[in-house]
Amino acid sequence: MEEEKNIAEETLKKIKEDNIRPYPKWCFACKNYSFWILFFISAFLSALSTSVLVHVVFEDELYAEADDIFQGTSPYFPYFWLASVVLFILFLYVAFTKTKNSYKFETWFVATALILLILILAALCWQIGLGIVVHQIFSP
Amino acid sequence: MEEKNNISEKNDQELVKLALGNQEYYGYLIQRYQDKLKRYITRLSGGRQEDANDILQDVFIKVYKNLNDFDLDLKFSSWIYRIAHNETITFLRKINRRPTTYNFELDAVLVKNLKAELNVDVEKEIDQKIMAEDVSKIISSLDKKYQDVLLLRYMEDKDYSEISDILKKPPGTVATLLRQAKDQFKKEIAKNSHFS
Repeated sequence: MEEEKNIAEETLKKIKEDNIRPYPKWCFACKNYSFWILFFISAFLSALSTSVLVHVVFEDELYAEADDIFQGTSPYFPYFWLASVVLFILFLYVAFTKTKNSYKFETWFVATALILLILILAALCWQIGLGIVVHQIFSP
Repeated sequence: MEEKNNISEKNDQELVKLALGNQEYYGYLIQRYQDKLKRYITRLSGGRQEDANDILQDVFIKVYKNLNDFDLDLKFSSWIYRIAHNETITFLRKINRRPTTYNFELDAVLVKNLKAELNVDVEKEIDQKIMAEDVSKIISSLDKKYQDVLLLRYMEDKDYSEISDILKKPPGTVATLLRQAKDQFKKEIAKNSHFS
């Protein structure tokens, strides 16, 4: 019992002696907002990559003229954009699992929700022509 | 001062708010949780009393530093248990000693809970066929993921939602793990009864 009392006393003593203070609220708020801003920027970039990918595969003349488009070995296949989509989705998934309440959701639910989010954003980007613009910027 | 007289009537959330303004109130929260957490940490670390005090102090300091990050939607006890769980695992990893089993001593609480939930008359089984230490051995022989949930459910008396918050696993996964753990335990206890 004495030992237990000591733990409380020792802890409070250490807090006072080392002048330990709770981290301020704004620290956590900043961390939180920065995270979500980064998360949505990544989601947007992922959607943008998807819309470029869709544009190249379904609309680009050079790619459409290639004979082996379905072999997956076409030199015109947008590997860079495909890799970019995959990497961003993986990043978004890992980032989401680090959030406070992510553990409440099953893996399949998170994965489905992320893919849906990317597809919706990608459809928007494609609709307003962002996919074409980005493709033209990066085309030689 | 008037508030300090009514401290036992205050819930954890109210004490957290008070502790943010005056660290003396944090002492009351420590007193409220030190016994439970020490027992939990001792069980998690495989019964090493000497480590438990060090870990416990680190837990209370970490909790104090992060008081402003406490989510009021969560139960304070779940939050502090989660920190205690993580700190213990980190401590054991640091000293390169992750116990393969937890310290499941067959105490009255465990017997009562196992009896009620598993529909197994543990006391009778122990008296007639197997020794108390065999029950500990059976639980210890289960997978670590099962031991985690069994420890929280039957020794710390936590409900599914609290276990989910402490272990950061979806509630559905916790329910599945508990069901599988109970099935395995029943199988093992039957096997032991058969051979004795």
